[in-house]
Amino acid sequence: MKRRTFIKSCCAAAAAGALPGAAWVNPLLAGTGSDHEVLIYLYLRGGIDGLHLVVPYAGPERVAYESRRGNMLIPESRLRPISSHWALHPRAGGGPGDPVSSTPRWLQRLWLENRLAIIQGAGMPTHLSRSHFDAQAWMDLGTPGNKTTSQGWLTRYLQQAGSLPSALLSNAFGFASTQPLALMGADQAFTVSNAQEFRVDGFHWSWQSTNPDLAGHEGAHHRIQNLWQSGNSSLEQAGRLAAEALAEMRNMNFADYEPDGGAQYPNSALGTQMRNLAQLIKSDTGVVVATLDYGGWDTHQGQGIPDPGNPSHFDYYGNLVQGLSEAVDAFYTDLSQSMQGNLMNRVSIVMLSEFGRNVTGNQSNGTDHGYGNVMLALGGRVNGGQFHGEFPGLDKGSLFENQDLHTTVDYRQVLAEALVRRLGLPEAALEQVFPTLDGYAPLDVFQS
Amino acid sequence: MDQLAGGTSAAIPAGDGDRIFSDRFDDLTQDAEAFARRILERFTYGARPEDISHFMSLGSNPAQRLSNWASAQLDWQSIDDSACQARIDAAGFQTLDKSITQLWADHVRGSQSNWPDRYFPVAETDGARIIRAVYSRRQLREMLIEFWHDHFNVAGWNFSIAPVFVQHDRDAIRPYALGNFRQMLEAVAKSTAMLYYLDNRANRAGGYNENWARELMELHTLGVDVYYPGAFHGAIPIGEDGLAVGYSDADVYDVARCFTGWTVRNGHWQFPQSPDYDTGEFFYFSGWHEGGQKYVLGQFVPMPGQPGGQNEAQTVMDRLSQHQATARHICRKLCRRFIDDEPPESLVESAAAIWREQWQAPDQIAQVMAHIITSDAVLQGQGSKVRRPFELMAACMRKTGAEIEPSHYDGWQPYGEMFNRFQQTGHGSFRWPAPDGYPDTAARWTSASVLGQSWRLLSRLPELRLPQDGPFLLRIHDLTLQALPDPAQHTAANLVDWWLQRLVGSGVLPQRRQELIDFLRQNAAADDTLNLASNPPYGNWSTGNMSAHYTPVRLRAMVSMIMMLPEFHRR
Repeated sequence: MKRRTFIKSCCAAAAAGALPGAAWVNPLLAGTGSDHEVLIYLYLRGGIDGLHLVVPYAGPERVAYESRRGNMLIPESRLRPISSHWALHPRAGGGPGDPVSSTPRWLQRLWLENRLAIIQGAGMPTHLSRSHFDAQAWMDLGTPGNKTTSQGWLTRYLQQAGSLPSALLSNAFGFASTQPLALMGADQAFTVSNAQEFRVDGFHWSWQSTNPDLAGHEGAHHRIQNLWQSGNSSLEQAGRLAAEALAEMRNMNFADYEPDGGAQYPNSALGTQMRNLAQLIKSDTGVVVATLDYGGWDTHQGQGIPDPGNPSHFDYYGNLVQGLSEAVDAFYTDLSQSMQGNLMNRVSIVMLSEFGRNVTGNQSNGTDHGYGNVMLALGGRVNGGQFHGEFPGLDKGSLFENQDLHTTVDYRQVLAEALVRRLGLPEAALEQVFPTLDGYAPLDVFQS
Repeated sequence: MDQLAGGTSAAIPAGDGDRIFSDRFDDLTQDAEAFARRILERFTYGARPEDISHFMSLGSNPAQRLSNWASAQLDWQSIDDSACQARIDAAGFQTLDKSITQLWADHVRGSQSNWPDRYFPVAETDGARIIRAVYSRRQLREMLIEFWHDHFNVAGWNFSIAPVFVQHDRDAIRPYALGNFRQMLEAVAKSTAMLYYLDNRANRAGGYNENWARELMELHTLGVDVYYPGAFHGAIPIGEDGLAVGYSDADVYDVARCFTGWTVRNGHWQFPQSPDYDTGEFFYFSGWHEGGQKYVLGQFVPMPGQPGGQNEAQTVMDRLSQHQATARHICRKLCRRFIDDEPPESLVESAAAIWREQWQAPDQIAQVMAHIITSDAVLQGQGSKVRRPFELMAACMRKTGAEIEPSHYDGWQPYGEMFNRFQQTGHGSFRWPAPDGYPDTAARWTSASVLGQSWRLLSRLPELRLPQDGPFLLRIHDLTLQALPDPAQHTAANLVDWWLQRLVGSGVLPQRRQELIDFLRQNAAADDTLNLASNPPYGNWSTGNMSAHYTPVRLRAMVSMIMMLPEFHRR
């Protein structure tokens, strides 16, 4: 589809005028068809139990798993094997009623097509926190151990990026209601939780929108930008950005978007956000980085054991896994089968969480906060269908503080590799993005 | 502190740029009304003209008025709030007076346990919350109640929590909001909603659940600034009070053990099989309590010679409540709520000292608030806060003489739409999912999303009216005609100035005022009057003359725009 399909008018953008601040947004220009790479930072808030998603299936780790996992243990027969020793949670590849032998869908399908990579032992080897809020802040800001950094890691990337495409809307989107920490200090990032309803539409119809049949008539919503002109407080800067975002997002028709390839986005916040993001990418709006959140993983209680093939079995964790898998798979299908070609060849998704969970569950069929975890990477230029990093081990001597999976991979290495290999950031600029990262050590998750 | 927003003011300090509020009152008598407005905007849900006159009547100088106002507000039981209560009573809520056992019997176990009845307790608490914010004369107390709801956040609309949420609000938060923290902490620890939200109901011997214990120390008391990560009891320094200055994961685990057995009578199969064990109430189930010694903040629990069992958690809460880190952590949050996102550290320290000295006083929190409100920081006008979406909505309603009786399940117009738009701001009542509560620094809610959705709400509020062409919720048209009864007064400038003064006072940037005037007058000349009387409340179609096109609508839209001004977003 062409951009023109989605853009009703550019006059609002032109009226916005140039704004002070960072240089990576130019509201006066439409997208230029630069085919720029896109990096998506999808955060699994709450601490996903990675050992419940990517599960030892055979071999010594399975033996150790069975001896330590307690009542969180998933029997082999309920798993979907993806290698000789490892398996996925069944809901990553099928619905609750699908037996594990059914045709792989979603994340398992993408693994089989070598588009999904799994990084073992990921986390913050340099720092420990079992606090959600500190650990998330450290990771989002890209400075483990320091939560008062004034800018997020994506903000610093945008500053280092050099040439970014001219943006019709913004180069950076945070799909959230509150400002994502990864984009902290990125004054021109658009933070939008619901793109379709992001419009001032409550005035009475007679003065809501401009009526072209009435000479001199101008819709009330057009005036909002003028009200926020002048003043340099952070509130006024934020208000100008919001007013600009409202004016420009109004030009996108999100509601009538039709995905390609028969992609079916789940009817969820994540599904809607990923559908909106796919449209922004296809419409050549100049989006380069985007953050999304998918929460609910803080499973201290009633985490759930899957029972594939039994559609009436309730599995809290499995429902979350399926919600994630379906949304990501629909996004992949939509972009990879776009009329413009396989756009996933320039789009990468990294999925991560603040920490893993305690290996042995608690007495309430849940898991408490842990340490090392899995990370996932997805894209047309991902070395998928394979494991990266090193599984830290479930034997007693390998556990962290006798209870948690250890870390073997600094999560920043994966992000750094995406920036260097996919987004073309010079390696020398990495120290600006991740100032305390000790050397660049790519894992070969991404193709150059 | 942030460089504040632009504006004109008589008292701009040299070199301080354009600020809405000068934020410095060198001569306290110079602009006493501006001072009154500023205090009321900061410590209530919105300054109305009658509030400002009342404040002005409280003494002969700003410091005296401030002190008298604070004393009166903090002595909240002496404020007659029967008119507000009458509104709540008239709203026909059914669940707000139900005991926890009745809530459980009706909304968890009984015939009202399905949608939407199951959610009535949280929905009606939300309705009452808005009524109180708009009408209660105990404004400061209602602000504190909001603070404590954030501090002891539970996800009110969760399936398990919604039916018992009334108890959390009514019995755990509201009685203690200006009272004693230790007592509130215990009430929260025993609140059925909290026992579900942070899973302590399932915390039992032989595999404790750390969720409550961790957030108790990280969020509710000590604060993460004194968290020493690590799973082993180790070398955290001991303070002069004999307690460790902070906590580790090992403390979290032992506090969790102390709280094993603090659970809910929810009919669990391991409880005695009797209806008495399925009432929804808190109880201590000794069969789930993990025996043995625990070690918390550098001391044993129980201390040698002390009883264990239920007493252990009491000991833990005592230690946490009198700890200096708790005092600092909570006083910093209070100062952040009422002074500035980055509050003056000296005020935090002096407030924390009172907090600790008075930790057993029944009016501990009121004493701390009195100190904060009458501090030099407030008297000198330091700091700045930005209204959160709820505060925006409440201020709009207060300042426009709104008549509201909000209810979640009475159809789309007007309240279904109001709640829907409010919820889209990301700040719907009791909907924050994480245990840290709605953030209290402006950078977190001045995203394009929150501001855009707030304006979407504000664009609608003046148009909401009761069904069958009933009254509007905001009484913009009526108030206008009352204040400016003579049609000759209805020039665009007069109308704009009257509403600016009512909603934000003086100090709006001139070009913003002009923008409002230009919108309202359209092609009319500056001193032309506008016809508000023809065919209200909407007016008439007018093809050739925009100044006559749906003029009453345009007046309401102009008032909406004032609500969207940067000046109105300041608290």
